Amino acid sequence: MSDSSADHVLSVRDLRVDFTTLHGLTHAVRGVSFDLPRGKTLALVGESGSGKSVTSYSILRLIQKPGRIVGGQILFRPKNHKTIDIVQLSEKGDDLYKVRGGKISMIFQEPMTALSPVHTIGDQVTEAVLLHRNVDRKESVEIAADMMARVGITDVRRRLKQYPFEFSGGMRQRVVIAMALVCRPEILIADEPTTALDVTVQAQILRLITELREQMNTSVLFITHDLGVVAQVADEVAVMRQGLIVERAIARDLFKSPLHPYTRELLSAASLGREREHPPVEELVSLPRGGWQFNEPETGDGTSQMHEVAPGRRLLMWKRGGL
Amino acid sequence: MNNDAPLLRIRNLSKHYTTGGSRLGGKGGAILKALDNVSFNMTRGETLGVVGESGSGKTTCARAILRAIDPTSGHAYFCNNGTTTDLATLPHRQLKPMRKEMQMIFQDPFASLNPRMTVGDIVGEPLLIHGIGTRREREAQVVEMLERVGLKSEHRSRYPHAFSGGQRQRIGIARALILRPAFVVADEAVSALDVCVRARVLDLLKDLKREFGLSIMFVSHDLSVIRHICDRVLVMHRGRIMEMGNVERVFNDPQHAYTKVLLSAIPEPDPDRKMSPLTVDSLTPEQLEPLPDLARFAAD
Repeated sequence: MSDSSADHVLSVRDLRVDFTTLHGLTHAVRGVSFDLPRGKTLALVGESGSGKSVTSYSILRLIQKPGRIVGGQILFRPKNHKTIDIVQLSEKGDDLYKVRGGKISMIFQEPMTALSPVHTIGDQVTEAVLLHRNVDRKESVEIAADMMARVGITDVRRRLKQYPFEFSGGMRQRVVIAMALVCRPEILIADEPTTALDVTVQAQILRLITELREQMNTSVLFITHDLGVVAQVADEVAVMRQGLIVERAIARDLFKSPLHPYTRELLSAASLGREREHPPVEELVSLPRGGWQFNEPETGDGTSQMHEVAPGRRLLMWKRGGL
Repeated sequence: MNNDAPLLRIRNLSKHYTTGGSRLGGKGGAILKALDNVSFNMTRGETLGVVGESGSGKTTCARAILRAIDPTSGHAYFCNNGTTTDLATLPHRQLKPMRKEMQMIFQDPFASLNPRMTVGDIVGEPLLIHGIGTRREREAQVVEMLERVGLKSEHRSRYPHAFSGGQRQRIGIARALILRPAFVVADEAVSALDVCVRARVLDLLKDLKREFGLSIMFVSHDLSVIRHICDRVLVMHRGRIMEMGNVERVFNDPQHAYTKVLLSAIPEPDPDRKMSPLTVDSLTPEQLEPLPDLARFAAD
C-alpha cells in the first residue's frame, strides 16, 4: 500500500454522508478514507447498513435526497488529466457527466432492473457509446458488438436486436458488464454484481470481471457482503461497519490473520463451522498505547483514528474524549 | 408400523407444467418437468438438504410434499404416530389435520409476515386455526415459543416492521414450530440474512431440531449453509436427483459430475484456494443422468 498518490486512481478522504429521516439525522457514512490502487481490485466488504453501497454511490454522486454528502473529498486521478474532486463537481456540469458512466462506471446488483425492458439490448449498449465517445451510429454498433463478444455473448448481431427478457440472469449481467466497460472506464464499481446469481454463474462472472480488468487495465471497486467472493477477486480489502472502515489490509493478510474483532466475527460466520482459532491480536501486531480500544465508547464522546499497525495494515480504534 | 420407519417415503413424485399453450385451447405447449420422478427417504430427526441451482426443482419438490402444490403423479408416504398417509393423493379436505404435522419456514422475512397483524397474533394464528387451547393457553404458548427463539414476551404486541431481518426470521420460525410439527420445510430460510445473523439463526435451528426432535428439509442454493446444518443432501438438476448421500461424503468425495460442477463454483474464503470452476455446459447428457444407485428407492 504505497502512499505515493499517483499510484492511486481514486483516494477517498474522510467521506461523510447523512440521511434525513423521520427520526432525525442518520450518519450513513461517518468519515471513510481509502485508496484504490491503479489496475487493482479493492473490495469494500460489510453487512447491510454498513454504508458500503452509500460510499460507492457517492463516488458517482448518485446519492439522492434525503441523503447528502456533507464532507470529505473523493479525489479521482484520471490518466493525462489533473486530479478531480468529485465532491466539488457541479450537479449539472459537463464534468460530472463525463466522469459518471464514462471514466467511472458501475455494475448494479439486479441485472433485471439495471436494464430497460422496452429498449433492445443493442440500443442500450450503444447509448453509452454515443454519450461518451465521439463516434457515429454505425461505429457505435461496431464498438458495442465487439464489447458484447468480449463478455462472452455469442451470435452478437442477433442478440443486439433482442430485449432483456430474452436473456437469462447470467447473460443479462454480461450485458450490464458490457455496458459498463464499453467506454473503457478507468474505474469500475461493481456493487454486489453476483449476489442474485447461481453459484455456477457467479463463478463465470467473477472470472470474466477479473479477466477484463487485466485486459483493459481498469481498477475495480468491488462491493460485497460475501467474504468468499472477496477472497477470489480482491487484491486489497476494506471492512466496513456502521459507516466506518474498521480494517484495511492486503487480501491475503486479512484472511490469514484478521486483526479487528469484527473482521474475525465476519470470517468465522462466513466459514460456518470450519472457523480457525486466531491468536490474540496483541501477539500479532503492536497496538497503539494510551487508552485506544476497538469498541466505540457508548458515551458518544469518542474519537476514532485509523492506526497503521503493520505495513499496509490499518485498524480503526477509539478513544474517549478528544485526541 | 414401528417408529424406525422413515418419516417420509417419496416415490416417483412428479410435477409437470404445460408451457406455451393457450388457456383458450389451440395448440398445446410443451411439457415442463419441474419435478421428474423423484424418490427418496427421509428419516426421523434428520436434516435433509436439497441443493441445486434456480430452476432445479428443489422448491417444487418441497412444496409438492407439503401439498402447497398438487403433484402430477407419485406418492409421498408420511409416517407419523403409527399411521402412514399418502400426502400426494390425500383429498384436500383431509389435508388440514395433516398440516399440524408439517410446517414451512419461508425465505423472505419481509414478505412472509402480515404487516397488519401483531407478532403475537402471527405466532398464535396456527393454534387458532386448528382450534387448540383457550385464549389464555394460546397466549402462554406464544410467549414460551417467542422466548425459545430468542425474542421477548413484550414483543408480541408489536408489528413486524419494528423488527430486523434476523428477528423476523425468528418470528417465522416460532410460527412454524408452535404446533410442534414433526416435519418442517425451511425454504432458503437464511438466504436473505447477513452472514453474522445467518450463522446465529442456523445455530438456533440446530438447537430447536434437537429439542423438538424435528425432521427438517432444508432447501438452499447455498452449499456452505447446507454443509453446516444438514446430515444428508440431495443434489438436484432439472427436476431430478443427481446424487444423494451423507453431507460430508458428498462434499469431500462427490460421485456425480454435476455435483463436482456445483462444488467447484463455491468461492472459499481463502485467497490461496482460488476456484477453478467447471461448467454444466461441458457435461454430456449421459453425465447428467442420476447416479444408478438412486434407482433402488423407486422399487421398494
